[in-house]
Amino acid sequence: MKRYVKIYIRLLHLNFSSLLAYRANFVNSLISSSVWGGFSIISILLLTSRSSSLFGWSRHDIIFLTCSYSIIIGIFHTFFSRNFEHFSRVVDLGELDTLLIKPIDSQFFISLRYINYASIIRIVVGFFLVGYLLKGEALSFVQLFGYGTMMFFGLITLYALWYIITSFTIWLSRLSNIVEFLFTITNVSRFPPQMYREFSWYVFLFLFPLTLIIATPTKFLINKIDFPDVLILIITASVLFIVSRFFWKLALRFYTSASS
Amino acid sequence: MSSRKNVHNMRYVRMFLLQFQEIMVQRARSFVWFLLSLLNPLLLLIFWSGVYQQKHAFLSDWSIATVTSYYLLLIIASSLLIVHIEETVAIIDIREGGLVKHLTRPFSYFWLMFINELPWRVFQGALGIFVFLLFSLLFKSFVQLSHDPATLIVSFLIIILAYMISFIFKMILGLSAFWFTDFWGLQQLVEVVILSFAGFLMPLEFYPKLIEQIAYALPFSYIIYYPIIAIQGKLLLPQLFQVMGIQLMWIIVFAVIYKYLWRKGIEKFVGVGQ
Repeated sequence: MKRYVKIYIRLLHLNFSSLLAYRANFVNSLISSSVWGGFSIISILLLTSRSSSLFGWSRHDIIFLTCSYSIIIGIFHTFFSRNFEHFSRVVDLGELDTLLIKPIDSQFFISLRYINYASIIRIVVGFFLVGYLLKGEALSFVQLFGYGTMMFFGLITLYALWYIITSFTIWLSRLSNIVEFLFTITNVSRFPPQMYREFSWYVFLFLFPLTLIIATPTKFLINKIDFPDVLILIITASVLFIVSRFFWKLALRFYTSASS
Repeated sequence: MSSRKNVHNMRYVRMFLLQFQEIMVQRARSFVWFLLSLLNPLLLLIFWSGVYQQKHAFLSDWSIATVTSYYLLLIIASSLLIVHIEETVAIIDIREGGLVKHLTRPFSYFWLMFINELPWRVFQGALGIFVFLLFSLLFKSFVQLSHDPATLIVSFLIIILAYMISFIFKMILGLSAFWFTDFWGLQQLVEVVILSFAGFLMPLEFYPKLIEQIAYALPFSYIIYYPIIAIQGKLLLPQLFQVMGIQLMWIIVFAVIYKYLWRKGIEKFVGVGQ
């Protein structure tokens, strides 16, 4: 464990050095992150502009949901999503062999190798907006702790889902654009879970893990949390993480390198 | 003379068919691209179906059926009319120097890219039409389209013009790589502007007045929003001709910009080692 912490700190340094070496790339990524962050907030403002409440959530709560989305997706894009983009490309180009022969856990290295510092802007904007929406309203320690903890489990759920789906590229290496699909389907979590439940139970069950990722932490902020919500997210995150580990090991058994 | 011209045109047809074969080889990837066009409209459709259940929701003269039709047509429009040639132009051809091989060929670069892109749009548009027909069969009462033949014919022309605007605009975006070494920031910015003002989020009439007026003034609504509402029969014939007129104006404006940027860009272009 200690060794992996050391390796990760080294990776943080390496990625920071690369940021300094390619400053234009960093500025571009910064623009891109800010633009998408701004779009997710403006779009929800526009979508809800003619309604005061939807699906049992007030407009104010839905905007909170979007701010939480900005924070969680910002963290995810900073630490994980760039790795998934590389993952699918590496498998497609037959370069996975070089990663597998390294004396390190392959899932750790594949999913944590790159850090996109530019996405931190989305986290900052998200926190700033949450602060603005609270308008000086004090949050209890339980709310803050619950919000942080549920965010952590939400991120694990998101990570595990992305990992499981990206692992399919071992069998279907041409599907290197699957990550684009994941970026899009993650949008599901921007809306209240009740929206899917009211539409159709089948749709809701299909999208279930995604509907928990943002909504559960946000419920802590707006004082709408129930104990079952917490339990469901913790169980879902833990199960999906174990499945992602198992599924990756299973996928590797079927991996045939480019030269095989 | 005319037979030489025919042979020349046949080359483009052959290239189109070859490109189609390439898409068939990459059908799984193409299907994933289509899913991207499918997911967002479906998500927004679910959102609006919920909004209509709210008593206090105010949605001008749009019924649930017209909104449903709008988003179903949006699936077709986004897969058929949103061109994605800019990355090929900017990254592969300009940044990596692939343009050199095109310059030495006896084809116009513009039409070569047109032929490369069109099969992708046709294939994905066909998938969009399939999904639309499927929904139409399952939820007949929720789908409303114009039945007037004149409206449908003019709408078809509007769709062709919309494709041309989209194509030339994306070519211009690609050409920006002559001047910007890394064009990702600009590309992402443009994508968000298109998503916001073309009608991807919702019908432009639902926007606050000021944003609605800005959206009408920009070319993007003529790529997505107007073709959709034309097919829906929301515009009268004179309005349809007015839309066509504005589309033609945008095509001319973009064509002039494209020609200018191409001339200036080629003077600047260096393809070392190609």
